[in-house]
Amino acid sequence: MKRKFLLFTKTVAFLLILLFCFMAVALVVERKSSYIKNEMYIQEAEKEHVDVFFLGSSHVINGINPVQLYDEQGITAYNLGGYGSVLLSSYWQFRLALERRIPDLVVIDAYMLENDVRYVDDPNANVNSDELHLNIDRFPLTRTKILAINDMFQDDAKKYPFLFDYIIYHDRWKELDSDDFNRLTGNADINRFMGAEMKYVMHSDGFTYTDYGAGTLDRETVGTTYLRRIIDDCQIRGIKVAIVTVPFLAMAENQAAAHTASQIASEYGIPCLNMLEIPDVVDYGLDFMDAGHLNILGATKVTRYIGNWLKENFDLADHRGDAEYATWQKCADEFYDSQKSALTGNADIHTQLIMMKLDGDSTSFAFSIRGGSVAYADDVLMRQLKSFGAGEKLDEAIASKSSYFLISDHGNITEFAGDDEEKVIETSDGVITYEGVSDLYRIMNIGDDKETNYLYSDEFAYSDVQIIFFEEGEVSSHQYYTGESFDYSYEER
Amino acid sequence: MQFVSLQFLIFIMGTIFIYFIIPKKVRYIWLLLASMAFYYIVSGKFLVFLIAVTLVTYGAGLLIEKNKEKAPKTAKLCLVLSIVLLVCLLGYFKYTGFLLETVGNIVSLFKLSDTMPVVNIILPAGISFYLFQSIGYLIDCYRGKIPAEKNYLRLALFISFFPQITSGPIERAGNMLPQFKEPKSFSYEAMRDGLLLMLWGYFQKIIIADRLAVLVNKVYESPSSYTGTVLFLATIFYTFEIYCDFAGYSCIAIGTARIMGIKIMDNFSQPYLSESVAEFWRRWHISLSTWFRDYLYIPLGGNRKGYVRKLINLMIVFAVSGLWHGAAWTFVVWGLLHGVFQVLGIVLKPVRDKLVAVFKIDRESFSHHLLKILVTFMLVNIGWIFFRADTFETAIYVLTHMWKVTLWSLTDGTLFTLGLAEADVRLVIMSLVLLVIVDAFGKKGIVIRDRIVAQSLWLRWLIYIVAIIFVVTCGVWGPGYDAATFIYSSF
Repeated sequence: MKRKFLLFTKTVAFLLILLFCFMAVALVVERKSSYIKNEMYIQEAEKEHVDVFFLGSSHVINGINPVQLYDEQGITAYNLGGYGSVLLSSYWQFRLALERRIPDLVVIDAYMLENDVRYVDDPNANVNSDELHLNIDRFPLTRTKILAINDMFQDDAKKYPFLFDYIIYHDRWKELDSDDFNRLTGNADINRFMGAEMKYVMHSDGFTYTDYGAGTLDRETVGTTYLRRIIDDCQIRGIKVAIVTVPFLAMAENQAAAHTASQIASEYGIPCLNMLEIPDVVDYGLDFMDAGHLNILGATKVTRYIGNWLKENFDLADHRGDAEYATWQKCADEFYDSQKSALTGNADIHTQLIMMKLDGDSTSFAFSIRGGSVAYADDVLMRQLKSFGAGEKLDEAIASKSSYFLISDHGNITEFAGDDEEKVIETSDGVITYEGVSDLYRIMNIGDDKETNYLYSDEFAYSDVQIIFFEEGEVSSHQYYTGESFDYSYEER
Repeated sequence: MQFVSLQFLIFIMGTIFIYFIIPKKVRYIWLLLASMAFYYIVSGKFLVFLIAVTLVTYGAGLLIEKNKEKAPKTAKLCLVLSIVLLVCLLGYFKYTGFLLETVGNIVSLFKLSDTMPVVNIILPAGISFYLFQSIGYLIDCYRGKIPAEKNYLRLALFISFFPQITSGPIERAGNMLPQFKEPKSFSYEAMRDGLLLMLWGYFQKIIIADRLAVLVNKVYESPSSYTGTVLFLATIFYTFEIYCDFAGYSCIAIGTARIMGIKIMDNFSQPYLSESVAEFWRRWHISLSTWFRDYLYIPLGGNRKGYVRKLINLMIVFAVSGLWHGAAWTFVVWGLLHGVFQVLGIVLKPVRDKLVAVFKIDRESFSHHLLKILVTFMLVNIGWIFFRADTFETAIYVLTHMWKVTLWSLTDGTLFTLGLAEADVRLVIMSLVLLVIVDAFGKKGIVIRDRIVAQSLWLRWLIYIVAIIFVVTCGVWGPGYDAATFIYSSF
């Protein structure tokens, strides 16, 4: 009997150790994307710091920046948007998040309201169900999670990897890096934008928004059903709800979906913000990374607009200055610091101009294009320059392919095109002298130093674009971009 | 239900748990129920066929025993008829298509007809294995080696025992029936040994065989795209793939039974360390080799009817063995090739002895042993080319193009273009090294499992845990994989 007891005890001890080791290995091999995106939510929800949920698709992930919302309005929101999420998956994302925290307000983006496919693993769903791992994996296996998977998937075989992700992630053993092991110690990198992901690229097409004069959806869809479920669930729990439609290049059916969202909102008596129909919130030519997703410029505008709208329509607490919310302030500081540090030194010229645009008018800089440059064929670059205030001189330079020079004195623009006699521009950061001698040879001096020509050196004679930041009469950064077609190589001094 | 599946692990855990908590005298009934359920999951309606086979075998066994003393001719007739029936059933399911295809080829060769009927007969899982077990049982009854089993359920369990029904080992009634009659009590040591055997089986299957399958399939899908060392390596990889696949299955089957205190015969004993093709067949698929020896080679006269007859008997046995493995001429050639290797081994023995004497070769030297192992390995390797290739053209292409030396294929990254990531290739090579080391120890009589068990608790637990986590984490399983089914389960 004693031996049997000993063997039993040993077996149980062995199984416990084995289970512990397996859990550790499962943490190491798991794909970290969901952990990265949602870990901050888990931490802040535990502290009851999340007042607002943003639900939706990648439009929300890329379009609404909770860190900016905190910095500007003091609202503590978490971006629970998911790549490829339809209202069905947003509903279950909401339910999973709800297990950790009952928020004051839930904001739902109505994109894909027209989607009428019942299951995400339906081949007609046009959704990559693998993307759901981003939403799901970080949340532990609970009854809600089981309900979610059963509701979203029709094929049993496709459910298991969502319930036990080790089934698919064990094969990551061959791609493990330090971040994977840091998951064990809790030191792995996580998303510091409260679930959002900002994009610093700009689409190459010049989009213009078309109003198709669409009505509303002509039927109830899976999307509308689950939107109603979210609203119902919120109202049962006393959570306020709002519907928004974040701007994108909407087609007729999308516009009808947005109208339907407004209709549903009025049925329930809840606020609705259809940003597709609010002019001038975003610039469709500059503020998107593609037809659907906002870049950082667009996200900044949309977040600001939504923040003000939320303040007007809901009584949300302003947590700025509250020591308990130091993490939020730290994240905001990190975000703006990282933007500041990225003001110069971007190898991609379009990203460089995005960062300069984001910086607003805090710096002074000169922007020069040599005559005959391929840069004039770069529509994106030209649009970006115009957004800074470049005008008829730029058009003149584009038409004649002559050299171009622009000075921004904290937002005050002066521009020149072609060969011209010496011009003196007085700026708040020093006196600039510019002379366009030829396509390649241009002269730029700062202050009394006539020996140093910042726009010409033998080494960079053929660089297409030069950007020179100056402050109090000194050059702080000088960047050269040389283009073959539209692909620029980059040098910095 | 594949052995490599969570369902199987849950199935055996449940089966074994209940097996040990119910009274010993009804355990065989529980095992029979579990086996029937297992077979139903694996083969569906063919469960009825399996039950029919058990009924025929049971009735024939009783009849043979009843008439053995008083009417031996009737007993013999009964034996012959029952064997003919079982062989015909095997022939129908397994060889009808092959036969029609062969006739069709002959007909089209002589331009007698343009069309031949095409049949698509589904093969019941494990049919080759359990029909051979039944035949073996009937012959043993006839020979008086065992009494006919009076308990139908117990005999049905012998034929359908779930760990071995789909791919063997092909057991003997004399070994299994007494164990079903008198089941052992739960033993911690037996459970541990069984689990370790299963773990080793899974290592061979999902760490090695399923990875090698990717490389091998890639090359054999389009062999003409490859030449030289890559082809040569593909043949070597297949040689290890089939070993790890089948030996892996056998380990899982034997381990599963061992947990329940049931000892199934070993099926593999370091076959690639054999020093002759004859020895290879004493170490490879032992349960089948001994079956052919006991129930075909010896009845044919074995080596008792003269030198030439012995050689003919060998060729017959291996031709049948080839046909047993697959209904295609490539399998027959594979079998015949092994027959020829052995016949040549016997015929050339005086020449080999003379050469050893002339060159004063020390037969006990390491180099001599190594040379014999390498030569045997290469002969077996050549045989596997016919086993793996879908057509003779493919086999001949591989056989004729694999000798060109293109060693740079080993270093220029070619190996990483055959469907496996670099890390997988490295892992499988390291695992093969481990396999060879374990087999080398095994041949010297050192059982690694026993050595591990003899270590102090912390070390052996460490080994167990690392091994389990390694196999489960690095194994080829889960969605996204088309883990090869066990190769022998299709025979």
